[in-house]
Amino acid sequence: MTDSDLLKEPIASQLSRVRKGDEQFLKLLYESKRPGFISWFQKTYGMGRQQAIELFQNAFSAFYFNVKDGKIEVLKSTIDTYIFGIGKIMMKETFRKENRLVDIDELSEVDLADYSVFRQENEAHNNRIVGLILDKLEDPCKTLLTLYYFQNLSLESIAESMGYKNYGVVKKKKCLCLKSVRSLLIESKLTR
Amino acid sequence: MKDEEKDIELIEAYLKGQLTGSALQDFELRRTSDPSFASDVDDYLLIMKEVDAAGQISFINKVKGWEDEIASKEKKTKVIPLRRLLAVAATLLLIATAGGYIFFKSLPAGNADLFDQYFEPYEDVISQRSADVGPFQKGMNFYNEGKYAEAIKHLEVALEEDQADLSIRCYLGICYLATNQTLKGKDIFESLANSDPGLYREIAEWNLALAYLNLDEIPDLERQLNVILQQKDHMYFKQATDLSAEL
Repeated sequence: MTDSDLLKEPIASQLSRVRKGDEQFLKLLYESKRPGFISWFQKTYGMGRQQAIELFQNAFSAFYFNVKDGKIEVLKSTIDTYIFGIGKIMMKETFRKENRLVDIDELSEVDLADYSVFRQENEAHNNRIVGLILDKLEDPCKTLLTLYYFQNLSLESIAESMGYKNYGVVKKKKCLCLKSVRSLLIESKLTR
Repeated sequence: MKDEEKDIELIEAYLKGQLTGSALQDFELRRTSDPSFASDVDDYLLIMKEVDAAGQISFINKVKGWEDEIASKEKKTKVIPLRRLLAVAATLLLIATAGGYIFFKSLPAGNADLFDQYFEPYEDVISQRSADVGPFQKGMNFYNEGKYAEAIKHLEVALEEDQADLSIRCYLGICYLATNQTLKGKDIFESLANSDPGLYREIAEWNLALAYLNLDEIPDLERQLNVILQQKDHMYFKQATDLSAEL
Protein backbone atom coordinates (compact mmCIF):
# COMPACT_ATOMS: atom_id res chain seq x y z
CA MET A 1 0.00 0.00 0.00
CA THR A 2 1.42 3.41 -0.99
CA ASP A 3 1.54 6.46 1.27
CA SER A 4 -1.22 8.05 -0.74
CA ASP A 5 -3.42 4.95 -0.31
CA LEU A 6 -2.94 5.04 3.46
CA LEU A 7 -4.18 8.62 3.63
CA LYS A 8 -7.27 7.66 1.62
CA GLU A 9 -8.34 4.97 4.08
CA PRO A 10 -11.55 5.63 6.01
CA ILE A 11 -11.07 7.89 9.03
CA ALA A 12 -11.77 4.99 11.42
CA SER A 13 -8.87 3.00 9.94
CA GLN A 14 -6.59 6.01 10.10
CA LEU A 15 -7.51 6.61 13.75
CA SER A 16 -6.84 2.95 14.46
CA ARG A 17 -3.32 3.30 13.06
CA VAL A 18 -2.79 6.41 15.18
CA ARG A 19 -4.11 4.63 18.28
CA LYS A 20 -1.65 1.78 17.75
CA GLY A 21 1.18 4.31 17.51
CA ASP A 22 2.02 3.37 13.89
CA GLU A 23 5.02 5.67 13.59
CA GLN A 24 5.32 5.49 9.81
CA PHE A 25 1.69 6.49 9.44
CA LEU A 26 1.96 9.23 12.08
CA LYS A 27 4.88 10.76 10.23
CA LEU A 28 3.00 10.55 6.94
CA LEU A 29 -0.02 12.20 8.53
CA TYR A 30 2.19 14.90 10.03
CA GLU A 31 3.77 15.69 6.67
CA SER A 32 0.45 15.71 4.83
CA LYS A 33 -1.39 18.00 7.25
CA ARG A 34 1.49 20.38 7.91
CA PRO A 35 1.56 22.67 4.82
CA GLY A 36 -2.14 23.49 4.84
CA PHE A 37 -2.19 24.11 8.58
CA ILE A 38 0.83 26.40 8.62
CA SER A 39 -0.31 28.36 5.60
CA TRP A 40 -3.84 28.79 6.91
CA PHE A 41 -2.77 30.00 10.35
CA GLN A 42 -0.20 32.35 8.85
CA LYS A 43 -2.70 33.86 6.45
CA THR A 44 -5.66 33.96 8.77
CA TYR A 45 -4.06 35.15 11.97
CA GLY A 46 -0.93 36.84 10.66
CA MET A 47 1.32 34.47 12.55
CA GLY A 48 5.02 34.13 11.82
CA ARG A 49 5.99 30.92 10.03
CA GLN A 50 7.99 29.58 12.96
CA GLN A 51 5.14 30.30 15.34
CA ALA A 52 2.71 28.49 13.03
CA ILE A 53 5.08 25.51 12.80
CA GLU A 54 5.30 25.28 16.59
CA LEU A 55 1.53 25.54 16.86
CA PHE A 56 1.17 22.68 14.39
CA GLN A 57 3.65 20.53 16.34
CA ASN A 58 1.66 21.09 19.52
CA ALA A 59 -1.73 20.56 17.88
CA PHE A 60 -0.57 17.39 16.16
CA SER A 61 0.92 16.01 19.39
CA ALA A 62 -2.28 16.79 21.28
CA PHE A 63 -4.27 15.05 18.54
CA TYR A 64 -2.11 11.94 18.92
CA PHE A 65 -2.34 11.95 22.73
CA ASN A 66 -6.11 12.27 22.62
CA VAL A 67 -6.44 9.39 20.18
CA LYS A 68 -4.09 7.05 22.01
CA ASP A 69 -5.72 7.86 25.35
CA GLY A 70 -9.11 6.95 23.92
CA LYS A 71 -10.48 10.48 24.24
CA ILE A 72 -11.36 10.30 20.56
CA GLU A 73 -13.05 7.09 19.51
CA VAL A 74 -14.66 8.46 16.36
CA LEU A 75 -14.54 11.77 14.55
CA LYS A 76 -17.62 13.54 13.28
CA SER A 77 -15.44 15.60 10.96
CA THR A 78 -12.07 15.02 9.31
CA ILE A 79 -8.67 14.71 10.95
CA ASP A 80 -7.74 18.05 9.35
CA THR A 81 -10.72 19.76 10.94
CA TYR A 82 -9.86 18.29 14.32
CA ILE A 83 -6.22 19.39 14.21
CA PHE A 84 -7.24 22.84 12.94
CA GLY A 85 -9.71 23.01 15.84
CA ILE A 86 -7.06 22.20 18.42
CA GLY A 87 -4.77 24.75 16.78
CA LYS A 88 -7.43 27.44 16.99
CA ILE A 89 -8.05 26.75 20.67
CA MET A 90 -4.35 26.66 21.52
CA MET A 91 -3.83 29.91 19.65
CA LYS A 92 -6.79 31.50 21.39
CA GLU A 93 -5.26 30.63 24.75
CA THR A 94 -1.90 32.03 23.70
CA PHE A 95 -3.52 35.26 22.56
CA ARG A 96 -5.48 35.44 25.81
CA LYS A 97 -2.25 35.11 27.77
CA GLU A 98 -0.77 37.88 25.65
CA ASN A 99 -3.90 39.97 26.25
CA ARG A 100 -4.66 39.98 22.55
CA LEU A 101 -8.30 39.88 21.60
CA VAL A 102 -9.35 37.50 18.88
CA ASP A 103 -12.79 36.57 17.73
CA ILE A 104 -13.04 32.89 16.90
CA ASP A 105 -16.20 31.00 16.09
CA GLU A 106 -17.41 28.30 18.39
CA LEU A 107 -16.20 24.99 17.04
CA SER A 108 -19.55 23.32 17.37
CA GLU A 109 -18.97 20.68 14.70
CA VAL A 110 -15.67 19.61 16.10
CA ASP A 111 -15.49 17.18 18.93
CA LEU A 112 -12.24 18.34 20.40
CA ALA A 113 -12.14 16.04 23.43
CA ASP A 114 -9.44 17.92 25.28
CA TYR A 115 -5.80 18.73 25.05
CA SER A 116 -5.20 19.34 28.74
CA VAL A 117 -2.52 16.70 28.67
CA PHE A 118 -0.36 19.23 26.88
CA ARG A 119 -0.77 21.83 29.58
CA GLN A 120 0.20 19.26 32.16
CA GLU A 121 3.52 18.68 30.47
CA ASN A 122 5.35 21.05 32.78
CA GLU A 123 3.75 19.57 35.87
CA ALA A 124 4.93 16.14 34.78
CA HIS A 125 8.46 17.47 34.61
CA ASN A 126 8.32 18.23 38.31
CA ASN A 127 8.72 14.58 39.18
CA ARG A 128 12.35 14.61 38.23
CA ILE A 129 13.40 11.67 40.35
CA VAL A 130 11.20 9.15 38.65
CA GLY A 131 11.96 10.81 35.32
CA LEU A 132 15.67 10.25 35.83
CA ILE A 133 15.12 6.65 36.87
CA LEU A 134 13.01 6.01 33.79
CA ASP A 135 15.63 7.66 31.59
CA LYS A 136 18.14 5.11 32.77
CA LEU A 137 15.74 2.19 32.67
CA GLU A 138 16.75 -0.47 30.18
CA ASP A 139 14.79 -2.84 27.98
CA PRO A 140 12.66 -4.85 28.16
CA CYS A 141 11.23 -2.87 31.11
CA LYS A 142 11.41 0.49 29.35
CA THR A 143 9.57 -0.70 26.24
CA LEU A 144 7.08 -2.76 28.19
CA LEU A 145 6.09 0.03 30.55
CA THR A 146 5.90 2.54 27.69
CA LEU A 147 3.70 0.28 25.61
CA TYR A 148 1.40 -0.35 28.54
CA TYR A 149 1.17 3.02 30.29
CA PHE A 150 1.81 5.43 27.42
CA GLN A 151 0.52 3.69 24.32
CA ASN A 152 -2.22 1.93 26.30
CA LEU A 153 -1.67 -1.36 24.50
CA SER A 154 -3.27 -4.46 25.96
CA LEU A 155 -1.18 -7.14 27.64
CA GLU A 156 -2.06 -9.47 24.75
CA SER A 157 -0.81 -6.97 22.14
CA ILE A 158 2.38 -6.42 24.11
CA ALA A 159 2.95 -10.18 24.38
CA GLU A 160 2.58 -10.42 20.62
CA SER A 161 4.79 -7.46 19.75
CA MET A 162 7.53 -8.24 22.28
CA GLY A 163 7.50 -11.99 21.69
CA TYR A 164 6.34 -13.12 25.12
CA LYS A 165 4.57 -16.44 25.47
CA ASN A 166 1.27 -15.00 26.67
CA TYR A 167 -0.30 -12.03 28.44
CA GLY A 168 0.29 -13.65 31.85
CA VAL A 169 4.02 -13.48 31.34
CA VAL A 170 3.75 -9.80 30.39
CA LYS A 171 1.64 -9.09 33.45
CA LYS A 172 4.22 -10.69 35.69
CA LYS A 173 7.07 -8.91 33.95
CA LYS A 174 5.28 -5.56 34.19
CA CYS A 175 4.92 -6.02 37.95
CA LEU A 176 8.60 -6.81 38.34
CA CYS A 177 9.54 -3.75 36.28
CA LEU A 178 7.34 -1.47 38.38
CA LYS A 179 8.80 -2.87 41.56
CA SER A 180 12.35 -2.36 40.39
CA VAL A 181 11.59 1.28 39.50
CA ARG A 182 10.00 1.73 42.89
CA SER A 183 13.02 0.25 44.68
CA LEU A 184 15.23 2.79 42.92
CA LEU A 185 12.78 5.52 43.88
CA ILE A 186 12.85 4.53 47.54
CA GLU A 187 16.63 4.27 47.41
CA SER A 188 17.01 7.76 46.00
CA LYS A 189 14.57 9.14 48.57
CA LEU A 190 16.72 7.67 51.33
CA THR A 191 19.96 9.08 49.97
CA ARG A 192 18.58 12.59 49.57
CA MET B 1 4.30 -10.87 46.55
CA LYS B 2 0.88 -11.82 45.29
CA ASP B 3 -0.76 -9.11 47.42
CA GLU B 4 1.50 -6.44 45.98
CA GLU B 5 0.60 -7.53 42.44
CA LYS B 6 -3.06 -7.28 43.34
CA ASP B 7 -2.49 -3.85 44.82
CA ILE B 8 -0.74 -2.72 41.64
CA GLU B 9 -3.77 -3.84 39.62
CA LEU B 10 -6.00 -1.96 42.03
CA ILE B 11 -3.90 1.20 41.70
CA GLU B 12 -4.00 0.91 37.91
CA ALA B 13 -7.77 0.59 37.99
CA TYR B 14 -7.94 3.66 40.24
CA LEU B 15 -5.68 5.64 37.89
CA LYS B 16 -7.82 4.72 34.89
CA GLY B 17 -11.02 5.67 36.73
CA GLN B 18 -12.27 2.10 36.62
CA LEU B 19 -13.06 1.92 40.33
CA THR B 20 -16.60 2.93 41.15
CA GLY B 21 -19.09 2.70 44.00
CA SER B 22 -18.05 0.59 46.97
CA ALA B 23 -14.76 -0.47 45.33
CA LEU B 24 -13.72 3.18 45.11
CA GLN B 25 -14.86 3.88 48.68
CA ASP B 26 -12.89 0.86 49.97
CA PHE B 27 -9.82 2.00 48.08
CA GLU B 28 -9.97 5.52 49.48
CA LEU B 29 -10.70 4.30 53.00
CA ARG B 30 -7.73 1.95 52.90
CA ARG B 31 -5.54 4.71 51.50
CA THR B 32 -6.33 6.95 54.46
CA SER B 33 -6.15 4.27 57.15
CA ASP B 34 -3.19 2.18 55.96
CA PRO B 35 0.06 4.23 55.69
CA SER B 36 1.90 1.41 53.94
CA PHE B 37 -0.80 1.12 51.28
CA ALA B 38 -0.91 4.92 50.97
CA SER B 39 2.81 4.94 50.29
CA ASP B 40 2.40 2.18 47.66
CA VAL B 41 -0.37 4.16 45.98
CA ASP B 42 1.63 7.41 45.94
CA ASP B 43 4.73 5.77 44.53
CA TYR B 44 3.06 3.63 41.90
CA LEU B 45 0.76 6.43 40.75
CA LEU B 46 3.81 8.64 40.38
CA ILE B 47 5.66 5.99 38.38
CA MET B 48 2.70 5.24 36.11
CA LYS B 49 2.09 8.91 35.42
CA GLU B 50 5.77 9.52 34.81
CA VAL B 51 5.95 6.69 32.27
CA ASP B 52 3.09 8.39 30.41
CA ALA B 53 4.77 11.81 30.70
CA ALA B 54 8.08 10.38 29.47
CA GLY B 55 6.22 8.89 26.50
CA GLN B 56 4.71 12.28 25.73
CA ILE B 57 8.06 14.02 25.85
CA SER B 58 9.56 11.32 23.69
CA PHE B 59 6.79 11.80 21.11
CA ILE B 60 7.16 15.59 21.14
CA ASN B 61 10.89 15.16 20.50
CA LYS B 62 10.09 12.74 17.69
CA VAL B 63 7.84 15.36 16.09
CA LYS B 64 10.63 17.92 16.40
CA GLY B 65 12.90 15.44 14.62
CA TRP B 66 10.38 15.15 11.75
CA GLU B 67 10.26 18.92 11.60
CA ASP B 68 14.05 19.12 11.37
CA GLU B 69 13.97 16.59 8.51
CA ILE B 70 11.38 18.65 6.66
CA ALA B 71 13.34 21.85 7.23
CA SER B 72 16.51 20.34 5.81
CA LYS B 73 14.60 18.97 2.78
CA GLU B 74 13.02 22.39 2.24
CA LYS B 75 16.44 23.98 2.22
CA LYS B 76 17.60 21.55 -0.46
CA THR B 77 14.52 21.80 -2.69
CA LYS B 78 13.14 25.19 -1.95
CA VAL B 79 10.27 26.20 -4.20
CA ILE B 80 10.08 29.90 -4.92
CA PRO B 81 6.69 30.98 -3.60
CA LEU B 82 4.38 32.18 -6.31
CA ARG B 83 3.52 35.20 -4.22
CA ARG B 84 7.12 36.38 -4.40
CA LEU B 85 7.17 35.98 -8.19
CA LEU B 86 3.92 37.87 -8.46
CA ALA B 87 5.23 40.62 -6.22
CA VAL B 88 8.26 41.10 -8.48
CA ALA B 89 6.09 40.98 -11.59
CA ALA B 90 3.65 43.45 -10.09
CA THR B 91 6.46 45.83 -9.19
CA LEU B 92 7.85 45.73 -12.73
CA LEU B 93 4.39 46.20 -14.16
CA LEU B 94 3.74 49.13 -11.88
CA ILE B 95 6.95 50.86 -12.95
CA ALA B 96 6.21 50.20 -16.62
CA THR B 97 2.63 51.39 -16.51
CA ALA B 98 2.68 54.07 -13.88
CA GLY B 99 1.28 56.64 -16.30
CA GLY B 100 -1.43 54.34 -17.56
CA TYR B 101 -2.42 53.40 -14.04
CA ILE B 102 -3.33 57.00 -13.21
CA PHE B 103 -5.53 57.16 -16.31
CA PHE B 104 -7.30 53.84 -15.75
CA LYS B 105 -7.80 54.45 -12.05
CA SER B 106 -10.20 57.23 -12.87
CA LEU B 107 -12.48 54.89 -14.84
CA PRO B 108 -15.23 52.89 -13.12
CA ALA B 109 -14.17 49.29 -12.55
CA GLY B 110 -16.12 46.59 -14.44
CA ASN B 111 -16.55 43.04 -13.17
CA ALA B 112 -13.57 41.81 -15.18
CA ASP B 113 -11.44 44.54 -13.67
CA LEU B 114 -12.64 43.68 -10.19
CA PHE B 115 -11.88 40.04 -10.88
CA ASP B 116 -8.33 40.90 -11.94
CA GLN B 117 -7.97 43.10 -8.90
CA TYR B 118 -9.03 40.41 -6.44
CA PHE B 119 -7.96 37.18 -8.11
CA GLU B 120 -4.70 35.88 -6.74
CA PRO B 121 -3.67 32.26 -7.33
CA TYR B 122 -3.25 30.66 -3.92
CA GLU B 123 0.35 29.94 -3.08
CA ASP B 124 1.71 26.44 -3.45
CA VAL B 125 1.56 24.87 -0.02
CA ILE B 126 1.92 21.35 -1.38
CA SER B 127 5.30 21.02 -3.08
CA GLN B 128 7.92 19.70 -0.75
CA ARG B 129 10.10 17.39 -2.75
CA SER B 130 11.42 17.85 -6.24
CA ALA B 131 12.03 14.09 -6.47
CA ASP B 132 8.31 13.44 -6.93
CA VAL B 133 7.66 13.59 -10.68
CA GLY B 134 4.02 12.48 -10.74
CA PRO B 135 1.47 14.48 -12.75
CA PHE B 136 0.42 16.48 -9.68
CA GLN B 137 3.94 17.65 -8.94
CA LYS B 138 4.58 18.37 -12.63
CA GLY B 139 1.42 20.45 -12.67
CA MET B 140 2.48 22.28 -9.53
CA ASN B 141 5.89 23.01 -11.01
CA PHE B 142 4.19 24.80 -13.93
CA TYR B 143 1.78 26.42 -11.47
CA ASN B 144 4.70 27.90 -9.57
CA GLU B 145 6.11 29.27 -12.81
CA GLY B 146 2.77 30.93 -13.59
CA LYS B 147 2.25 28.61 -16.60
CA TYR B 148 -1.33 27.77 -15.78
CA ALA B 149 -2.29 26.32 -19.17
CA GLU B 150 0.58 23.83 -18.91
CA ALA B 151 -0.29 23.14 -15.29
CA ILE B 152 -3.87 22.27 -16.29
CA LYS B 153 -2.72 19.45 -18.61
CA HIS B 154 -0.92 17.69 -15.77
CA LEU B 155 -3.41 18.49 -13.02
CA GLU B 156 -6.26 17.06 -15.13
CA VAL B 157 -4.31 13.79 -15.40
CA ALA B 158 -3.63 13.86 -11.66
CA LEU B 159 -7.32 14.42 -10.98
CA GLU B 160 -8.29 11.46 -13.16
CA GLU B 161 -5.98 9.31 -11.05
CA ASP B 162 -7.30 10.66 -7.79
CA GLN B 163 -10.76 12.19 -7.90
CA ALA B 164 -10.96 12.59 -4.14
CA ASP B 165 -7.85 14.71 -3.65
CA LEU B 166 -9.02 18.16 -2.62
CA SER B 167 -5.68 19.82 -3.27
CA ILE B 168 -5.59 18.74 -6.94
CA ARG B 169 -9.13 20.00 -7.49
CA CYS B 170 -8.36 23.25 -5.74
CA TYR B 171 -5.23 24.10 -7.74
CA LEU B 172 -6.85 22.95 -10.99
CA GLY B 173 -9.80 25.24 -10.29
CA ILE B 174 -7.43 28.16 -9.73
CA CYS B 175 -5.68 27.38 -13.02
CA TYR B 176 -9.03 27.44 -14.82
CA LEU B 177 -9.79 30.87 -13.36
CA ALA B 178 -6.31 32.10 -14.24
CA THR B 179 -6.76 31.02 -17.89
CA ASN B 180 -10.25 32.48 -18.18
CA GLN B 181 -11.97 29.08 -18.23
CA THR B 182 -14.30 30.40 -15.59
CA LEU B 183 -17.17 27.94 -16.07
CA LYS B 184 -14.86 24.99 -15.48
CA GLY B 185 -13.43 26.74 -12.44
CA LYS B 186 -16.91 27.44 -11.13
CA ASP B 187 -17.89 23.76 -11.43
CA ILE B 188 -14.86 22.69 -9.41
CA PHE B 189 -15.27 25.29 -6.70
CA GLU B 190 -19.00 24.68 -6.35
CA SER B 191 -18.32 21.09 -5.32
CA LEU B 192 -15.22 21.96 -3.28
CA ALA B 193 -17.15 24.61 -1.36
CA ASN B 194 -19.30 21.80 0.00
CA SER B 195 -16.36 19.78 1.29
CA ASP B 196 -15.47 19.49 4.98
CA PRO B 197 -14.40 22.70 6.70
CA GLY B 198 -10.74 23.47 6.21
CA LEU B 199 -8.22 25.20 4.01
CA TYR B 200 -9.49 24.02 0.62
CA ARG B 201 -13.09 24.77 1.42
CA GLU B 202 -12.22 28.34 2.34
CA ILE B 203 -10.14 28.80 -0.81
CA ALA B 204 -13.03 27.35 -2.82
CA GLU B 205 -15.60 29.63 -1.21
CA TRP B 206 -13.62 32.71 -2.17
CA ASN B 207 -12.70 31.58 -5.67
CA LEU B 208 -16.30 30.58 -6.32
CA ALA B 209 -17.30 34.15 -5.48
CA LEU B 210 -14.70 35.40 -7.97
CA ALA B 211 -16.00 32.99 -10.62
CA TYR B 212 -19.51 34.39 -10.14
CA LEU B 213 -18.05 37.89 -10.38
CA ASN B 214 -16.29 37.12 -13.66
CA LEU B 215 -19.46 35.54 -15.04
CA ASP B 216 -21.60 38.52 -13.98
CA GLU B 217 -23.74 36.22 -11.84
CA ILE B 218 -24.33 38.92 -9.27
CA PRO B 219 -27.05 37.32 -7.08
CA ASP B 220 -24.87 34.19 -6.71
CA LEU B 221 -21.87 36.40 -6.02
CA GLU B 222 -23.68 38.27 -3.26
CA ARG B 223 -24.91 35.03 -1.71
CA GLN B 224 -21.41 33.58 -1.84
CA LEU B 225 -19.85 36.66 -0.27
CA ASN B 226 -22.39 36.42 2.53
CA VAL B 227 -21.28 32.84 3.16
CA ILE B 228 -17.76 34.14 3.74
CA LEU B 229 -18.82 37.20 5.70
CA GLN B 230 -20.65 35.00 8.17
CA GLN B 231 -17.33 33.37 9.09
CA LYS B 232 -15.29 35.98 10.90
CA ASP B 233 -12.18 33.82 10.95
CA HIS B 234 -12.47 33.00 7.25
CA MET B 235 -9.10 33.52 5.60
CA TYR B 236 -10.73 35.68 2.89
CA PHE B 237 -12.98 37.65 5.23
CA LYS B 238 -11.21 40.94 4.54
CA GLN B 239 -11.19 40.49 0.77
CA ALA B 240 -14.88 39.55 0.84
CA THR B 241 -15.64 42.65 2.90
CA ASP B 242 -13.73 44.90 0.48
CA LEU B 243 -15.29 43.34 -2.61
CA SER B 244 -18.74 43.53 -1.09
CA ALA B 245 -18.23 47.27 -0.52
CA GLU B 246 -17.24 47.80 -4.14
CA LEU B 247 -20.34 46.15 -5.62
